Amino acid sequence: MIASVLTIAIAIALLTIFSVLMEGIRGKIKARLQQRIGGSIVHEIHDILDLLTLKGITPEELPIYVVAPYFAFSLSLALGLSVPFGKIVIVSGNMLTIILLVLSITAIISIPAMLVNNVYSNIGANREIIITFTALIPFMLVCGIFLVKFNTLSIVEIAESLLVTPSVILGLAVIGYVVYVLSEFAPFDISRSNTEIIDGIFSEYGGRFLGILEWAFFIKRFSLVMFFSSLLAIPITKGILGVSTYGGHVLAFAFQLVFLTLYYIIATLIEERTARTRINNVIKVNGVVTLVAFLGLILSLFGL
Amino acid sequence: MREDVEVSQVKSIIERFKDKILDVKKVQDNQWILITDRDSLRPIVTYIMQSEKFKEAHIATMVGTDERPLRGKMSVTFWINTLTDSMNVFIGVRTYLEEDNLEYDSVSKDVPGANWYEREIYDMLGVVPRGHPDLRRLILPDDWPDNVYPLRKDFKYTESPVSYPNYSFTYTEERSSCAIVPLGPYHVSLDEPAHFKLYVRGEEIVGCDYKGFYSHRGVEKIAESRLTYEQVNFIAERICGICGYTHSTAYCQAIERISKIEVPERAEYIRTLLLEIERIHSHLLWLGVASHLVGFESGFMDAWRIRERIMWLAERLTGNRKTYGMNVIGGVRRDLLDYRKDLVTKTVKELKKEYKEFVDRLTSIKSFIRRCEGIGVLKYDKARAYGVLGPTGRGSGRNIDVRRDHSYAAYKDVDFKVPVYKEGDVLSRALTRIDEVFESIWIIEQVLDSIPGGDVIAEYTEIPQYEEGLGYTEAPRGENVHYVMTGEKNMVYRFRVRAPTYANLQAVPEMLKGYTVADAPLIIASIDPCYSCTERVTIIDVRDCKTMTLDEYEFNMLSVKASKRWF
Repeated sequence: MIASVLTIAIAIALLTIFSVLMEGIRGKIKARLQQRIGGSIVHEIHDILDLLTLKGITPEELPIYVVAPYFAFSLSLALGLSVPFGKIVIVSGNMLTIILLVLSITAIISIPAMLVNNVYSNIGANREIIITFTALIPFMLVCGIFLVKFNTLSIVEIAESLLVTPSVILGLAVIGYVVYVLSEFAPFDISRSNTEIIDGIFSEYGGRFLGILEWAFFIKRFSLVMFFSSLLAIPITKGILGVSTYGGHVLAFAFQLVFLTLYYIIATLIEERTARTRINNVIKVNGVVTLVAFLGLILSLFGL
Repeated sequence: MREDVEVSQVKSIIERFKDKILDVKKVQDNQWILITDRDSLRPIVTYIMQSEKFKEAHIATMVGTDERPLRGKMSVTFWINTLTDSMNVFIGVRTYLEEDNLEYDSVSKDVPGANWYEREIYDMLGVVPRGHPDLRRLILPDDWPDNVYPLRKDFKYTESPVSYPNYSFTYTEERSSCAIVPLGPYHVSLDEPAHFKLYVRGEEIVGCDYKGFYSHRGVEKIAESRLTYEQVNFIAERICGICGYTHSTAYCQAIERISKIEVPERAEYIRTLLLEIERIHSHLLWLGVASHLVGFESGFMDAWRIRERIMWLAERLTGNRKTYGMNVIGGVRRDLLDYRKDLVTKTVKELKKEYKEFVDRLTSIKSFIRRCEGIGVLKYDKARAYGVLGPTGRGSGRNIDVRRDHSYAAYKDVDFKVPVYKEGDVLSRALTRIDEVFESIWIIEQVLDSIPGGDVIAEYTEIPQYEEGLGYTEAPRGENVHYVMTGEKNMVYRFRVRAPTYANLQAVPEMLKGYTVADAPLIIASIDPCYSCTERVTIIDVRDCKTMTLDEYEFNMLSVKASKRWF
């Protein structure tokens, strides 16, 4: 019991603090690439805490605006806890749970943004929904691949029995891409684009509520990258120390953090070489990725 | 020969309209005025603007002048820059209007580019263009009372009349089926107040209305009411926070032409050098802003880092990063010392290398190119109809450049190309500016090689009264025109400034239609509308009045300290 509580506490601490710290590290890397000094790596943490001390501002008298940030934060935490830490699963650890939670977060952020009489919020919500749905379709097809190949949707079980086959490689590549899109790294940062739609879905929020939403967004991003990292870390650990040893747990978690950091660094490097895209391009590219995932599914049905 | 061609062009218009031309005046070299009656104003202007003979003709400026104290009438003059293969002449078509009938036939229906000019003189002087398609208030604020016209001579510049607001910013067309995206008056991508009301279906823009002039400062009225010739020069330089020197040059040139002042050749070269320095920093600024707007932040940082070199150079040469204060009527205030020449050469060489690397990188970013390509297309016909200027016009295939077409300063002595692209999209406008920076560097290199010796300022004793003329420059954003009519007591009688953005902004609604909300900030920015910035900090201790100016390192450290957190 104590071990479980302790594990959950560590996981929550990791999700809430590390997720924001990673944004600070990204900011520092960006600054260095742009030959700037840049802010401290704890800058983002301070900004979030600053926002939390301010009075919450919401539009008109819509109660949903007040509860939405808290719901988004809770759902993001739930998403993070659904992802394996090393090989420790706290809640569910199932790929369907990931889909459900991502959809829920999108819904709870988008619905208030669509209700308010602000065209920038409306456009942001519209974009958020399109991005999520078009990215989750290939994700679901990859779930199909894993079901065919491993007969399970448990993340740890999939990772432990991962085989190097064409369909699995395609599936992993698609998940890597989908995580990038859902995490809204550039060029997919269009639902909150500042210069185009003045922060879009977030434009009606201010103060504490904005702080909670930003925090929720960072946790969501961190959780998704943790999920993808676990799919890479666990198979490697298995090859080195076996799956069920204590050292195996620690090593899997260490590898997961390494992959997570690498993912963030690569995302930052990509962001440095790209401009923001348009929503029609997102639909087009996600459509192509859906076809790739579909191809992977067909290959898996043929045993490849 | 030049004189003959010039005369033949003016003659061709006179012959066509014969008895409708009441008088012809050559006011300056390459500047003529045809005086006509109110009914013939529209046909003559329309003919010149639409004639195949003047293939790139556009309205350079339109001037309404309250000449009641002089001749009991008001005058309206369309100044047209008639660009032909053989000779380029500014032709002013003028009519005089009696006070009890201040109306003439609007030309805006035939010449869309005349729209704002006519709205402006209606606003400021009460001259009514009959049949104008959209005679809403353009410049004056919403709470300005009706029938009070600030540019009339009987209106004192100290007056500040206020009435109840009368909001006229409504679109004339019915757009009930569209959502409205209010891009402005304050929008993160605009950087200065301007209001584009976008009518959208989904994310597609189907219509656009514009309201601007929130920052109208009454520069013309101040110049006419309380400043001397020399003082106007300083306010002219403060018209723009980016290309102020080009305004100052245009004003000085207008006065120098009117007074027949021979500016020393060395001063002309120094002006050319500074004008090109200004162009480089302006274009680099724009490239940075364009990158920022499409989310390519490293492009923004790179462009502004490189721009710092040219800002530093300007400071070394003039004492100021911006607002150089170098021009005086008759020349320039300070000479370019020889050891500074080496500094310029070295800086420009480094700049060229860094800029080339930056451009190679920028143009290799496919996502950046995709955001610019095929977006905000303004076809040649529309560009000409609206009189779109500078890189915006050249990006739509208009082969115009005042530096070449009406050579001034030392541009007649240097070799340079005028980049022209025909696609008319944002990418074309970007590529035009990119190429222009290379040309500017080339011009600076030539200026340094061939700058002659001698004085930098000419002496003059008198500026003739009630003479008029245009001063013009190719600003970073296009043709910049200053009209001056001299007056008594060392003051101008009429001062009219037409910055290039005035002409370019009118075409923006055309550029926006059919594209998406995501593209709107970039399309608007693609004409490079002006905005100013402060980049220098001076700390003043109010107790002992000591000042401390921060250098770059100290400034950086101060910002690091300011953003430092408690852990």
